[in-house]
Amino acid sequence: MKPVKQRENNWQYELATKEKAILQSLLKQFPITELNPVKMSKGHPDAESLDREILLNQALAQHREELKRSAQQLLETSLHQSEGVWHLTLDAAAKEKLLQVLNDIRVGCWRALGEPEEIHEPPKDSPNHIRLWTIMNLAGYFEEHLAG
Amino acid sequence: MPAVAPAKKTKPLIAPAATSERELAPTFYVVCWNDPINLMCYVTHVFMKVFGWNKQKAEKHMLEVHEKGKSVLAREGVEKAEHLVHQLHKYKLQATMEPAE
Repeated sequence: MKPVKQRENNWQYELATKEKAILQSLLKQFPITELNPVKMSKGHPDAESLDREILLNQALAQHREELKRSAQQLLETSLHQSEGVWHLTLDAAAKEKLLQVLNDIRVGCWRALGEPEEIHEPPKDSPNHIRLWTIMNLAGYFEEHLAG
Repeated sequence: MPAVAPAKKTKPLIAPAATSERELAPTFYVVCWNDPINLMCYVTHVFMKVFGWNKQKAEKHMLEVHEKGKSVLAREGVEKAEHLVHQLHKYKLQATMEPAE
């Protein structure tokens, strides 16, 4: 994956056929993992902060539904082939959505792996963990190119 | 010459309500916590997007998260702090709001 054009609010990347297939597969599978509830505060929660936490988790569930639609839209509109080369074309909003989808995948896989501190070594315990670890790294590969 | 001497200008004993309400309203720190999974370039990108910071400031806070385990990103009233925490969680960063004392 390499950037080929960048105008003010528009980015174009060139993708190898294998990269395009992987990105397509990640977007098609989204969401790959369950949505985990998050905390609003580290301290002991009072009634107000519990209410805030409920609202936050509801908003995140809704946001994930929106991301699901965005992933579908990205699949339909952002990948094009010209002269045998695949291009990913994104405006600013699409780029943010793609980054959020990819990081949802990456963080979701990490959580499903038990939130390990060591993430560079592949797990050896189960084929499912190896699958999750691989997907986590593939999502990170695209993120690095988009955010780097 | 006026019959009654003009009243002396004195400071009000009670500050205007708007100021005191703002001063007394609880404020919160918006804190981002370290984790091993979010990429450094991604965290910098998110800080730039959510807070409108330049790359230098975003990187400074990202490195603080990475090296010290957390960074205080803002001090705000409840609604704004809540909004910022929501935004950071949408990007899957571990963010909380903690009462500022």
